[in-house]
Amino acid sequence: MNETIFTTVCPGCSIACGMYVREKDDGTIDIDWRKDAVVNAGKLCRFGVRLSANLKNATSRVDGNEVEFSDAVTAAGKAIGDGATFISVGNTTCAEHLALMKLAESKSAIVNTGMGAFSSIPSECHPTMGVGVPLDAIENAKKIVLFIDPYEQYPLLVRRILAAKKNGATVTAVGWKAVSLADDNKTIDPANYESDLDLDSDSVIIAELNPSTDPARVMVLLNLAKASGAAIMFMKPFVNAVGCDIASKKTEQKSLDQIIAEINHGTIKTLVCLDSDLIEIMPDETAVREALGKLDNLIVITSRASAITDVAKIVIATEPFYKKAGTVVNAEGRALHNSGESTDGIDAIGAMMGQPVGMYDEIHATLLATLGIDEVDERVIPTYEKPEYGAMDANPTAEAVETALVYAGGPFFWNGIVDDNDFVEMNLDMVTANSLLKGIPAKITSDKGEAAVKYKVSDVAPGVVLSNVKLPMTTGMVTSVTVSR
Amino acid sequence: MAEATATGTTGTDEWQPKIVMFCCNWCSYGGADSAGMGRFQQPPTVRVIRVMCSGRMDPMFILNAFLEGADGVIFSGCHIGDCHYVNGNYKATIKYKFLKAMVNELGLEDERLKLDWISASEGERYANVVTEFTEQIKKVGPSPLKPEGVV
Amino acid sequence: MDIGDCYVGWATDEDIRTRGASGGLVTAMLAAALEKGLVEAVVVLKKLGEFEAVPVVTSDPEEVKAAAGSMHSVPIVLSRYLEYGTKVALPAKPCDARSTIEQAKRGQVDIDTTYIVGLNCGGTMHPAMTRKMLDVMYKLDPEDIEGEEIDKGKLIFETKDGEEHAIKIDELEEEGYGRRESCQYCFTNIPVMADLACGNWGVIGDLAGKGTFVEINTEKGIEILQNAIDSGAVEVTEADEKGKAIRAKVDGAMMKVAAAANEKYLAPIEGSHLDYYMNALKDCINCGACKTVCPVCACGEGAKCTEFSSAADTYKMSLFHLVRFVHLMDSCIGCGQCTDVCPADISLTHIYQRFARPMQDEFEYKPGMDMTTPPFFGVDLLEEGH
Repeated sequence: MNETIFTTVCPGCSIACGMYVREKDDGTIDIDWRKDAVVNAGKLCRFGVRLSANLKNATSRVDGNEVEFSDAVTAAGKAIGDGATFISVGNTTCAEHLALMKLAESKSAIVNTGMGAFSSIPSECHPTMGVGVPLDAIENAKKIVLFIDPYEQYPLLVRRILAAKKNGATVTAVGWKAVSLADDNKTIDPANYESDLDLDSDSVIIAELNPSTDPARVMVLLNLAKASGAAIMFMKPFVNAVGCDIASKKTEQKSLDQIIAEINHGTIKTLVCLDSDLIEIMPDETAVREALGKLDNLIVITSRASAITDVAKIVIATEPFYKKAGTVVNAEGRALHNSGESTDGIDAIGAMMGQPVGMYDEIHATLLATLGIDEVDERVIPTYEKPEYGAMDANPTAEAVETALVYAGGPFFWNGIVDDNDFVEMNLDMVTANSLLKGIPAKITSDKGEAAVKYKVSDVAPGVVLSNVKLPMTTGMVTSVTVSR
Repeated sequence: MAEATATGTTGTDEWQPKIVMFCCNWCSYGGADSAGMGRFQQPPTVRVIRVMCSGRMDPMFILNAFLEGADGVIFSGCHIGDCHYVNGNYKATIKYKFLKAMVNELGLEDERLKLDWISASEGERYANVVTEFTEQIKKVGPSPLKPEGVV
Repeated sequence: MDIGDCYVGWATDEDIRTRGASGGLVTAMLAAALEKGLVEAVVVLKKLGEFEAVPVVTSDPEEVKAAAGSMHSVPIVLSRYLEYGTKVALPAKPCDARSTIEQAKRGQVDIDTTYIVGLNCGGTMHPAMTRKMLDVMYKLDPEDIEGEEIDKGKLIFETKDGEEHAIKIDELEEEGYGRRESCQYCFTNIPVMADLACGNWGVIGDLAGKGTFVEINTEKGIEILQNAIDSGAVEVTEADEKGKAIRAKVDGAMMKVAAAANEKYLAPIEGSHLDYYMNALKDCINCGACKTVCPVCACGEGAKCTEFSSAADTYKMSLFHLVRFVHLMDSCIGCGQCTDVCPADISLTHIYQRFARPMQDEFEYKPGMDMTTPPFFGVDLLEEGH
């Protein structure tokens, strides 16, 4: 009777909370709280606490049939030729991402991280969009502006903001829903951010950057930071988004929407996804499934079973995240190391390239060099700098819709897992205006379809239906809908 | 039961407490029936929920009642020694001790939670208990735990 | 050997004796229990860093011996790690021992196959707080620390250069550092509820630092100690009266300290109780960790607190918390695990204790001390006049 304890991080979001995974002889796992972890003092959000129930290991498959790992690798090796497109959003280690970059290079391609915003925003802004403010610094800010809902989206930020408040900070939230820890909840037109938000160099702005974020919106926030002198932190929904971004060296990136469009157009025939389930990540699942169905080869290299593994032509099942030898870089730019030693993912990619097993050490050395460190030490964090960049012309196109269904994605959302947050939220006016009944689901209709969904009355902005769960009738992160009984 | 009672008024503009009363099937629920049959007047503030025995008392029932907007909660069963299931009301007594202490420590007024024993034949007593409790709750006012929008 | 006997013991293996806390008796006893098949598994604290240890289940005696040494850790919830009926031995602070006994009451652990080797405890410290305290109060680099102890009310850290740095615990706790809150107001320092009560209080003279005081509390205690003696892993000598007296005196002093902490942390709430509780809980992010780590929670997935509360509720307070307040009134042992894991930094332990203490006092019931049924279920406890 023995247990192996893995020191790892939660794969839920870019905070990368330290945790333990305890694996028994029979392979069953449970999580434990790693109190010495510097990022989170061991504390976890709902997602981390329930990780063992939600983590399902992948199985290697070819054309739907279960096969040996090596057979899947061979099949993939044959299928991936020049012209293949590669995606890795940051759900796996830097090592695997770097390995995929080598494979892509050998096929005259790059690895897309899906953050198309980087490509449409000047490169001088990229460092600011990449590595963010140290979490300790948030506690020392005098003013904090939230463009996210910390309770839902990045819950381990809550305690940092609460600590900041204890230190005298004032918190303003600009979002879809009133946030209870904010002193002030506002709805502001982006054109008025600079004038309405009284920020200065002791302020911290916390926003989000995900594959569906409108670049114009990012530019507005960057302008706000520049004009006020405030520090800005872009949280990302994937544990190693920052690491993969750094590794990718910001090569010209396509957005996921572009990739889907090219698949539909017939320009992309082979797609290789590394721990990137586009069906889970993108808001319009139907459109994505349709597009993926048009590919000649959908090859998925993944550590967990998810929606995409059911439709892929080839699935290469790698070890669960907690077992991987490798490093992730969190939102603060902090490099965090897994205690695991398994290299299935890297070896698979290596095999596809005809490389000998053992590529890990070489890649790890490259990573350390790129990060400018000698070893991975969780207590070491890059000094936060505010690089200069020019103000940009930004006009976020906000269509005037009467009622908008908005996704405020949290870790469960991005990982396609539904828990008891399977309801939408709207304010009382919308409920009364549409004569909804208590306890009876509301009918939400868009051009694409409709669904009956449980709803909750919350302090949500007018005209907004906020959802933490992906609904079938959506076309984007914001969808025009009508609400009825 | 909508007419004015002898003890209190049910004028439509006066706030009416919402009281949830859990009655055991064998005694207290019978007592409620007896109150009805004997035409004993009581204010229309009580919503009765029948349980088989006062021993069925579950902290969740009471807490949920308060969270849903009840201003007062009564749990009523058979007199000690008369429980249809022998010792269900003893169990209720112990659980009640815990619940009372909890609700008081939480900050709800002591008057809001009550345990009583009403037998099937005690129709008048039933009406009196309801009437007195309603008066008590009117004095302490609406529950501070009432959700938004519940009167 | 009889129940009530007191000895001072140590590991016969010099290496374990040196590495172990006060003579390595516990380590040697646990390893011997595995080696001789008295148990099939042992829970040990695997040291992962100077301030970090994680409980690990093992069947390997070498792993047990490697884990010698006293460390700060937080309570072990045995039922999360092992199946019912596993023959297991574990080192346990009083809260760990109490937690195991409470789990045994709930059918999560088989008390007859669980050997609880109790350890005296004056309190543990959270690693994150310890690092900060070293920086702010001691002006030391946490990486320089090589050892620590508590002596005469002072917390002493030893640095790699052999220097000792001491600050009075009172002083540290005034500044918000020091032991975890729940440890500060805990009255249970000697694990009288465990099979054995081990520690260094009462070890004097030549044996100080090289021997462990052990009091036998149960038959199982005799079994595991005798097994270790018979296998040659440990040696014992009878404890003398002076040692016993000193042990009692230290315990008494710790109780006084705890009483003062009780005054500080559990003073009656001023003003609206409801405001106090609503305020305390308003930033809860519904992670459920407090329930998962709670040693006395045995309901698992189908628990009432989680089944009947939902994120969709628009109540003024969460039913999850309210139900837990009631359910823990007779059973909260004040281990402090909930506070440690709360991501909203809510001081949950003393909230639960505010509900629990008065009830436990009224029923004269202390959870985790023996197999008495909790009063919530004890119809027999009904007295005349209730």
